[in-house]
Amino acid sequence: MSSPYFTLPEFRYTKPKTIEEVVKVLDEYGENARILAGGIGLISFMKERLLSPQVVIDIKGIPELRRIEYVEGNGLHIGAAVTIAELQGFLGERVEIGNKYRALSEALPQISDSLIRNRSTLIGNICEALPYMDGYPPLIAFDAKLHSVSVKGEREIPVAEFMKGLAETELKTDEFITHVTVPEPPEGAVSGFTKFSSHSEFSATAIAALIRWSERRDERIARISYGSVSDTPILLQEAGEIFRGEGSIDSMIDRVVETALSEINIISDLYATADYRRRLIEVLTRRLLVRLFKEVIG
Amino acid sequence: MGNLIGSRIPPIDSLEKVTGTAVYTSDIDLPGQVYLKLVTSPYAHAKIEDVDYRKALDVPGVVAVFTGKNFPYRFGIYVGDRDMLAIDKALWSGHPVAAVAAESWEAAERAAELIDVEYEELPAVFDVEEAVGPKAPVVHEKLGEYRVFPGLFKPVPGTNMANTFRLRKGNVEKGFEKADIVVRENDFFVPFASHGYMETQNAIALYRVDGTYEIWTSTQSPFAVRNLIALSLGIPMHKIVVHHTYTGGGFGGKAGIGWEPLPMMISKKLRRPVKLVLSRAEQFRSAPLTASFKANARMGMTKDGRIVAYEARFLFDCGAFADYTVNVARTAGYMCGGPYDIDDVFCETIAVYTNKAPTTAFRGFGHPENHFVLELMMEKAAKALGMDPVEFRLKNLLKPGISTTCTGTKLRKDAGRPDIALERAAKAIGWSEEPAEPVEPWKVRAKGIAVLVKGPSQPPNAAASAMVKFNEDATIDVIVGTGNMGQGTVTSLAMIAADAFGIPLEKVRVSPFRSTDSMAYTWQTVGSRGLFTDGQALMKAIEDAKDQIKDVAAQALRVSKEDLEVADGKVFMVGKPWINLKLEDVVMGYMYENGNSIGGPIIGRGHHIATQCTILDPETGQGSPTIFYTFGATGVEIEIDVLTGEVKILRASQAYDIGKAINPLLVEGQAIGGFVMGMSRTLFEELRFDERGNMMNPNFSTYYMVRTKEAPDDIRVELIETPQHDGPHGARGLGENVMVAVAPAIISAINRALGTNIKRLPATRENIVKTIEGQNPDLLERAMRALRLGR
Amino acid sequence: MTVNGERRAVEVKDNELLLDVLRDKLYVKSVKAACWKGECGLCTVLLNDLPVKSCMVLAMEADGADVKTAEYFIKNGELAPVQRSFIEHGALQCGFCTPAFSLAAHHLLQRNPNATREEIKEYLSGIICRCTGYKQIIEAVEDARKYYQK
Ligand SMILES: Cc1cc2nc3c(=O)[nH]c(=O)nc-3n(C[C@H](O)[C@H](O)[C@H](O)COP(=O)(O)OP(=O)(O)OC[C@H]3O[C@@H](n4cnc5c(N)ncnc54)[C@H](O)[C@@H]3O)c2cc1C
Ligand code: FES
Ligand code: FES
Repeated sequence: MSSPYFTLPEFRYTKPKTIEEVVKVLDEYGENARILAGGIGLISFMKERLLSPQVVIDIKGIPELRRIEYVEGNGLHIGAAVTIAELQGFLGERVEIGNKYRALSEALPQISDSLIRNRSTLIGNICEALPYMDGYPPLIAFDAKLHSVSVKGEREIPVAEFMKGLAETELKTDEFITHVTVPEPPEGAVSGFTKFSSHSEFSATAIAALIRWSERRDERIARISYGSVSDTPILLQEAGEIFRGEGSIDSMIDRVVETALSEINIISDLYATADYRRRLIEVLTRRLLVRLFKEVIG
Repeated sequence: MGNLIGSRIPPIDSLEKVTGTAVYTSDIDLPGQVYLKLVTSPYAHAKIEDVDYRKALDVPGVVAVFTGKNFPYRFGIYVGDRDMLAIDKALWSGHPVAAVAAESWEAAERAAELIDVEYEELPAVFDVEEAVGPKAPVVHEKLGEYRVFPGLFKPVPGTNMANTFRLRKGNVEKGFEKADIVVRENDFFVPFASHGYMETQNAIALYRVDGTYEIWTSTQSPFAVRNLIALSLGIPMHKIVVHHTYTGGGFGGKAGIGWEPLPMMISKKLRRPVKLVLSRAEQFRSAPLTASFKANARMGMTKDGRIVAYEARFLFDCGAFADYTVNVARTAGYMCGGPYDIDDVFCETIAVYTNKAPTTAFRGFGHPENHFVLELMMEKAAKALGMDPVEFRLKNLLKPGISTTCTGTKLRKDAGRPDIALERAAKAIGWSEEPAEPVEPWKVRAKGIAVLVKGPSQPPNAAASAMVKFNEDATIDVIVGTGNMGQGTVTSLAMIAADAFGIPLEKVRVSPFRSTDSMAYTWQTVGSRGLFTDGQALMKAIEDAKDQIKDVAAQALRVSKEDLEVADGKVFMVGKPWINLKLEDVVMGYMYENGNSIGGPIIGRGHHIATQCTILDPETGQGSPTIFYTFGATGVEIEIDVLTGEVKILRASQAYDIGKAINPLLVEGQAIGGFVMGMSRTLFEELRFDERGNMMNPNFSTYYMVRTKEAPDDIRVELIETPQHDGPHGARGLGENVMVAVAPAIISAINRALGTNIKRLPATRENIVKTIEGQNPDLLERAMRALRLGR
Repeated sequence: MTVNGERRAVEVKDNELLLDVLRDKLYVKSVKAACWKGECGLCTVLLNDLPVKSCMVLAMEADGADVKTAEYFIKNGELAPVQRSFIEHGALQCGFCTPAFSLAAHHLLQRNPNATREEIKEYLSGIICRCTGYKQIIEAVEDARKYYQK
């Protein structure tokens, strides 16, 4: 839908300086408190009266959450208050890291538009948890992990298991995400991202893939993730097995496409019909995989 | 005469706009104003049993709540079917049923959420074909009581027929008998669309104790607003003052009357200024859109490629108010034959009510509709004949001074050249060469072209006036009524005035503010008529001012008036330019050395009324409907990714015979903007409704309009200048023509590239793939194979 | 908050949006709105020199921040080069989108004076113009690059 309203419901705004303070407010207010990162999603939801929290917790004042860091071997650490534009800048300036996380580097500039990316965060995108959130496929392809904290302690949630349904996540009401870690991709792996829309701003299909090819079958890795095609983003579990199996690359790609089409519960909505999505899944998967294979074996 | 005419001058209001200091109506706040929020119906058709707003009144800051019971009035320009708030029943999902007035937006919105409306749902009708059937629910039971523009429209009480228009030229059945080949096509379809102007509709009203209503409104037509309010409410016109300033786009959607009566009447009740601004969702769901239509057509040709008969039938889905759309439909009807010379023509257009959002004028006004059908029929006919589409069109175009249009009037000699426009548009996209091979094997390329003609659709007596008011230092205020939506008319008018007196453009001002009590009258700023009509009025005002100047100067210089000329900022004797007076010394009166004075402040005035128009014959639709025609053509070369349906415009051409390009920079801006708007509607835009009539995509994320990413780089504008003798400097209007042929040009290119027969808009990526799957599966299969082998 | 170079103190409620505070409380009317939900970009302002959509920012988030709008440049005595270029290219019609485009383009060229046509299109794709068809806007930005290159 779309909101007829100009103004927001009433709430109290707080801007804590530490994670502990956030946790305290969350503990006290539970589902009546919401985190504000970039605010793009939260403000939209409040405008549409889908959310009316009593307390809005702005996390941009917490220095720790603004951290982006890459540690060789450990991977990428992205704080919850890091904007997509900042992350783009980070990966853009450090070409090597950017290339290592190519699916992410390719996805970021395709999330909404440059002005929104100046505010919105990758973690906010994940926490907003709508099917067409483009942050999911690349993070899932890299097997990224969200780190949450609450009064009860900290835990780690794989991005692939985070979204439960429309605007529903694994997160408890007293918990929030502090950062996401994107592990070091396997040695020699390549990755990429692609998305396509028909007649709306949002993707009709988004795909991220990470491939490590090797003559030795047991060393092969394939993580292919689909967004915007089903109720929640999906990691195509079978892709790895297919590539570790027998056959030519062409036949493997055929099987990946077949499996994607048969295994994913493809939806019809305002952005595209299931039929069109089926077409896009096939076309985009092939294009992306062909591109990646060209890179690894020329 | 100066040398301004024809030069590329940035719009005179650019500086204000680029710095954001230009004041639009939505920027105006009046001290003590209250804010209005609408409560809208969630049902497409429902009796309003009760509106309970007790809880709303308890919200701090709420001043009052109003419902349709407070305002039992109907409004409209052609068929007075509009209400301010739903009267007794809601006619569409989104129909405003109540309005809250409060001290802030926040209070008004909070209260609006608390209003309980009790509805009794009624059977609704969404499909036009169903709506004209005998069993359809009737949208307007009291249609027979509405005020209708005399002579032009005939709503049928007890039905959903807001108007039926028929055009009969010659005898179409006899015509088809002469045909060697007949092509026919059913199921043309164009969906509801939004004007998408950036400034949503808004109005602020202030009732004064002396009984005057002042209204600031984002409109194209201040005088029409005043006139229509006065007619419906019985208020003397001088007691209504409509103010107009910068308008953030209109495209027809701000013509006629808008929301003005609501804040105006509420202001009277509350004795406070009242401001209404629509949110974008309200703009989509509750305000007038552009109508959808279905159509069928038939065309007969001789073997050698002469069109001998053409027949078309349109059903316009007007939604809940057909007020303005009846004339859109009528115009599509009388222009059905477009730029072609056809002896036997029949067209029927029926404007139909349904329980969907109301509709109104849209840039092009009936012409994009009739040309979509006509030009796709031309493609089909050319194919059936095995002729080149350009050659086929050239063979059938109207010839100025020789042919008669489909309303049976002979086309004037100086009407402009459709043939040259077509040739230039074709040449600019390299029509005679095959498109280059695309790089990827799953892509295809093709070219498409379409021709158009358009004139303003207006009542035969539409008039305009202008004044040229001199200041002490011989600077000029040009006073015109033409609206200021960015179409550049005011810049052209200022140029005409500066040029006529030979003074720098900076010495001429056209105020961005217009008020009906102090500006010169013009009927409306619609139909691309602004420059043509207001320009002619201005030319006369200039002559009048010059005449007055010469009177004074003749006396002062003791020469004969006939020997005087005004130019270069002076009045001087022809042949003896040293005998002269500076304008400064004349325009406030001339003072002799001894102090004796003659003359006085100079105000030139002029007017224009359409003299050559007639009311069309009620049976045959024959007559002279308009004051000028502007011919043009649009060409495109496109590339399509067969696998995803993505269309890229590789190059486009826009060629128009505009008589005279007073300012080519502005003309190009119109042509480019019009192309992209047309492209956007062709490839993306469709308002969708669910089975209960709820609009599903009332926002810019899902009602997608073209952004910079899709904007074509290569749009060539070709201007042809065959002067029209009564146009200002020979100019004709252009603002709306620029969109008319875009959709058929793009669709015919798509069809040529894909071997399909698309005749519905929009051709979204998804719809294109679906069409290929249905109509040319081999092409898709080949492309899929190429993709599979791609490695 | 500093607005266009002037310190402005204003009382705001927690749920107010930057857009509304600028327009309705500080009367900075160059900031337009056409969708009120992040889609059209007309409410763009430079928040600490970064272009953002002010209908998606709480006023409280801008506490103490520097806000610049299109008027900034006249107040400062000189138009931004890209604004001049907009005028020369006729890159505006109704003008409702122009302040937003000029702010975003100005920021882009300051950051990347060699932006390619594709980069310009990409950067401006969050702002809608219904009038111009964008071509003259994009060309005006391209043409203005030279003023930012020094
Ligand atoms: C015009 C437009 C176009 C868009 N196009 C796209 C697109 O193409 N692709 C796409 O993927 N998205 C798109 N979006 C969505 C946009 O990218 C997301 O709304 C944005 O990324 C959310 O990030 P944020 O930081 O603004 O989140 P916020 O609004 O701050 O948060 C979103 C939600 O997550 C919660 N949350 C945020 N951070 C945390 C945390 N650390 N822990 C727990 N909960 C948290 C909030 O409480 C809120 O409910 C678009 C949005 C708009 C308005
Ligand atoms: S009003 Fe802010 S993006 Fe449209
Ligand atoms: S100039 Fe009107 S919206 Fe851009």
